[in-house]
Order: sequence, then structure tokens, then C-alpha cells
Amino acid sequence: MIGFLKSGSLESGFVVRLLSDVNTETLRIGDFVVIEGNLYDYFGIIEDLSISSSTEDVFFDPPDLDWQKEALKGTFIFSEAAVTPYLMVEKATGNVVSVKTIPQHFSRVKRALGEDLAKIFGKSKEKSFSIGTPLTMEEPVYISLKKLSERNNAIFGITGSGKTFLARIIFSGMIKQNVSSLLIFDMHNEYGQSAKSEKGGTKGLKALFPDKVKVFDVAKENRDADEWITIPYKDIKAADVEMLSSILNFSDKSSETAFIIERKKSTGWLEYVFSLEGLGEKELAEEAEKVGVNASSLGALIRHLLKFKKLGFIKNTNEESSIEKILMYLKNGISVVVQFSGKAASSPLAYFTVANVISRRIHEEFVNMDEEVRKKTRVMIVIEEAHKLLSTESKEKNIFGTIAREMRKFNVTLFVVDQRPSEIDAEVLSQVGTRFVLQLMDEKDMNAVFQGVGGGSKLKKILRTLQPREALLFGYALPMPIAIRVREYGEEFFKEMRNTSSPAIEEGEKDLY
Amino acid sequence: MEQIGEIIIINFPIVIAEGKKGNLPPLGSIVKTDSNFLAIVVSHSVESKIPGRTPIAYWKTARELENEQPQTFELMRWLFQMVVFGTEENGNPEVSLPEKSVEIHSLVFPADIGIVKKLIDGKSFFNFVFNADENLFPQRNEIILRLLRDYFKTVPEEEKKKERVKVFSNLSKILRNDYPSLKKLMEGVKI
Repeated sequence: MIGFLKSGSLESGFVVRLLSDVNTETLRIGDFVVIEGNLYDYFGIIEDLSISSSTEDVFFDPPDLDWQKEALKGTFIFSEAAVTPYLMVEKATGNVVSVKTIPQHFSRVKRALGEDLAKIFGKSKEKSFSIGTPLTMEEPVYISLKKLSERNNAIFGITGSGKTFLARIIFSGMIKQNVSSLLIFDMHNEYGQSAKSEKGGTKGLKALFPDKVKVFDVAKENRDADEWITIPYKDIKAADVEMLSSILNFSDKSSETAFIIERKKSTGWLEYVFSLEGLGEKELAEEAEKVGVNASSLGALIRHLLKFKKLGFIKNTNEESSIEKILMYLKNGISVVVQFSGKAASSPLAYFTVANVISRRIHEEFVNMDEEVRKKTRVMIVIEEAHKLLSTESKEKNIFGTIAREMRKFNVTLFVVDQRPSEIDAEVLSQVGTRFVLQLMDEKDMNAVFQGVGGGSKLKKILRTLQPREALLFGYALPMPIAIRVREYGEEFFKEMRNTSSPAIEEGEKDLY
Repeated sequence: MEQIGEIIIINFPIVIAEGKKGNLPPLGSIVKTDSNFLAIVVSHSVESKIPGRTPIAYWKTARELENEQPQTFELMRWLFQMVVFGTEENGNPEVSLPEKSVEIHSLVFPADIGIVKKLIDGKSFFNFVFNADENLFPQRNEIILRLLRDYFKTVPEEEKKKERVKVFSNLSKILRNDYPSLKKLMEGVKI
């Protein structure tokens, strides 16, 4: 027992008077506590800790010996914990419901034990997966991967906070338990065969699940890739170009020119634009007149779009687009990691072009998919640096805004990995069902992750205390918010992933393999 | 057990006993009567045995005077005043004012250290003392300080810290609105 219930309300939370023998240094914001009522056990989180005194007199003539200080504890000086209750468990039935009643004065408060935690975050039948432990406990916290796959999700955190580390663990769980096919746009090549880690190299998803993951790359330099991506000119639309206007240094005029040419030349518009490369001023003016655009705008468009040509994987070819292959894998329950090596490494132009073109194709495919086929198919698209695609200015110019808003019903969801949540459009953020928030430093980013979340200001206090590889989890896939230490991504984890006694592919999914 | 006094005046719960010459029980000490009443010694006094006679000054030390005129001392009596606060039942103190007064000429003895420890370790004795009328305990803090000092002398060195924390934790609940008094008591037992 750490204390007793002193005061509080459902709206403002509870105040727990801590017992004088409880060392406040052993309690931490984010700790999980249980308030023992008569009919219910109330589960809550320590949102704040305070030390107080009953009188200022103590500080005019403070105690100077240890035993004197000790003797004053609990009366003249005392400690309190602010606890926000989230769930209550009916003692008689074990039913878990959100908090609707309030325990009585002096109800005993204790730290949650493993068995308490198991009631809330225990292993369930719903494809649950352990992703870590509470900050001051060793009991595993399980998350429902099934629920996770039903909505959009996000991992937010600054560089070095452990975003990729956490993402790899979650994705491993999804792949192992056949929850969803993942399409990971892997900007820094961290999810494929191998990945960088603090200790050097570590295994990527392909290494853990060789039969369930395919690695694509836009450049041949990547020897680990299973296949290479080629995007035919015909698959690039003017809208893709418009989305990349800031990267291509495009003006609105150039975008407009691209759209006009696309209307005239249909899927051959890009081939047409590239065919004009090297034309003299007179010839260019004649072409501009033919398609009904301004000659200087056309010249500018050609110059800007040549950057596409240099990427190497956008080609004038009638070969089958690798997008079709990616779609086939995804529909068959195989996850795909798209990597960017060679000239495309760390190239926003390559990354956003590929991500947008492939995702747009998936959007079309799933919207028009037969209902019965769709029921068996679930795809989660993982994008990094998402704020560049989902900002208020750009969300309408690319497919990701649409996917975030509308694709849940078509079994396509987004998984955003980002460090600047404040730059993501508020409406898009509101569509994020479950959030995994690691360390954030910027106040705007902290405010953004709690936008529209009840009790966000209290959770923010927890967020401020997080260390690298610690995360605050809340939202749709979790019964209540919880701060965790992310589990180790090492040998023990790899062994668990290799263990074939884990959930088998379910009936109805078998025909996909 | 050595008898230390005999009750000769009662204004219950205040009672006065005559003690032995020059050997009164310490202020703040806990005593009990032959009828198991418990009391705390709150003051000492010395007066002439002959009504109306008042000692005069001889300008000598007490020892010199006693050697020269021992009868002067034989005509005096040594008194100590106590406040009755409860009774002892089977070795356990019961802190509450008894419904009947202590009898005149009851004999007075020092209380067992076990009883003293139980009183000091609990809250009811201090509650009684600090919630009683000030006229009953004119020098309350000093009396309690005397009691505590003498008590802690009996506590083994290795247990002293723990015992002090325990006693003063209880006292801090009772004196929760009077930190200066509590601090004075804590400082007092340091010595």
C-alpha cells in the first residue's frame, strides 16, 4: 500500500495521500496504481507527484536531524500523488469498464502488481503482442494488433528517441501474427534485411521473416533487395508532380502547365515533356502553342521534371510496373519494404514520388476490390517523415490525406513514423487511432500529439519525463494510456519471432500463401 | 517497590502527596498509587509542617544550616503535585479520567518502565495532556520534555533513533497546529 484516497473528482482526478514510509523517489509519473474500492478496483496512472507542508513554520526553523525529519513526515510535511483513473474492474465479475463511479475516502491505494496489469494489458485472444513493460515494472504490456490494424496509427518522437526501434517491434508482431500486410516506405533502409543499431548492425524484418517479407529497392546497389522498382512514365500523374512542388521548386504555374499537358496527352504526358528536352526557343514556343500553354512555363516545367529522369527508376518502358508485383504480394499477405539506395538514398524526391505513386495505386485497387477479397486483405502503409506529406498545405495534393481519412473502411490504414507531429494537419491527426509517443522536445509537437485527446494535459506531464526507448501509448488499441519501456530488440526477441508455435495462419488466410 | 509518597490533599484530578525529604519524584515522572491510579508529577513544593509558620532566611547554604540546625528541616515537609490521568489494568495503562477520586492517604510508587513505554509509544496519553486545560498543566511542554528525556535515557542506544521517530511521529499528529512546541521538544531530547 502506498497511500489512501484523500480527495478528487472524476473530472479532475484523485489526490492520494502517500504514507510517510513511502519513498517518493521510488514513484514515478506514469506509474500504474490500483485504488481498492468496495465494489471495484480502480486503475489509474500517477500524473503528478507533490511534496507539501501543513505550515510554513516548518521552514522558519527546519528540523536538522534525520530522525526529526522522519518524525515530521505525514503530518507537517507530506507527499501526494495526483492519479487519473481510467478503468474500473468489478470485483465480483472481473468486468472491465471505463470509470463511472468514484471510490470512497480512505480507499487503499497500491502500486499495480503484475496480476493487476494482466487484467488490463494481459495477453488476449485478439492477436495481442508484447511491446514492452511499464516504466517501473517487469510485467509485459500486450497490445491488440488486431485493433491496431483497424485504424491509422502513429509513432512520434525526436531523432534518437527510438522510433524505428519501436516500429520494428510492432511490425514484427504484425508480420508474425499475420495481422496485416505492411507496405513500408523505408526512407533510411532500416527495416529490410539488416539495420543499424546502437551496437552496430541488427536484423531487419526480412531477416526475421524471410518468407513473409519482400524487399524492393529503386536502385540496383542494394544487393539485399528481392526486386527492383521501375516506375513507367505512364504511372506518373500531374498530381504527383504537384505534390512535390516544393522539392522540385515548382511554382503554381508549373503545376497548372503539367495538368494542362496531362489533359491533352493523357498517360503520355511525361514522355511528351521529356521529348521536348533540347528544343530551341522557336520550336518550344510552337509546341507550347499546340498544347495551349505558356512557352516559358513549359520550359520551366521541362527543366524541373528532368530531376525525375535523373532518379533512374522512372523509365519510359512498357514493362510490367513493379507496382503490380507489390500489390500482388500485399494481397497475398506478404509485407513489402521499399528501400532507397544509390542516388535515391535520403532523396525526398525519390521517397515521396515512390510512396505517393504506389499508395495511389493501392487506393485505386482497394476501392474497386471485390468485397469478399477485401475482407481477407488488410494493408497498412508505413510512411516516414509523414509531416511532409500530411501537412495542411500538402494533404490535398497527395493520396495520403485521402487514405488517412477514408480508407479504413477499405481495410487500408496508415502507420505514420514522424518527428514533427505539429506539422501534420489537425484533421489527419484526428484520424490517428493509436499513438505511440516517444521523447519530444518541442512544445508545439507535444501539444499536437494530444490534440483532441481527453486529459491530454495530464498525459503531457508523463511525456516530459520519458527517456529514450520509453513511450507513452494511448488510443484505440489500448484500454487506457500507459507509459512503457520498449522491449529489447535482440536475441531473445528474435528467438520469439522464430518460434513457429506462435499463432498459425488463420483459416481463410491459408489460401493466400 | 519503594514507596515515594502519600496522598494528603485531593482536588481531583489534581492530588498532592507528601514525599521524602530532599528526594521527590522527578517532574514529569509517571507514578501510580496503591489503588492503581496513574498520575504525572507536575510540581514540587516544600513548606512548614506547622500551620502559620513560615521559614525565615539564615543566609547559609542548605547544607550548612542542616549541620547547624537540623530541627529546621525536621519541621518542614516535602510535597509533590500530580495530575491523575488514568489507571493501570493488568500491566496496561488505561488513559481516561477515573470516575471516582483516588483515596486520601493512598501510597504513591514510581510506575513500571513498561507502563511508561506504553504511554509514550501510544497517542492517548499525549492526547490527554495536550488537550487538557492549561491550568491543569501550567508548564505542560517542560513537564513532557522532562518525561521524554528521562524515558529516552532508558532506551538502548541502537534503538534510540527508531524510538524517537516513533514517539515524535505520534506527537506531531497531536501538535499538528503547533510546530514551535514540537520543535522545542525535539530539540530538548537531543541532549
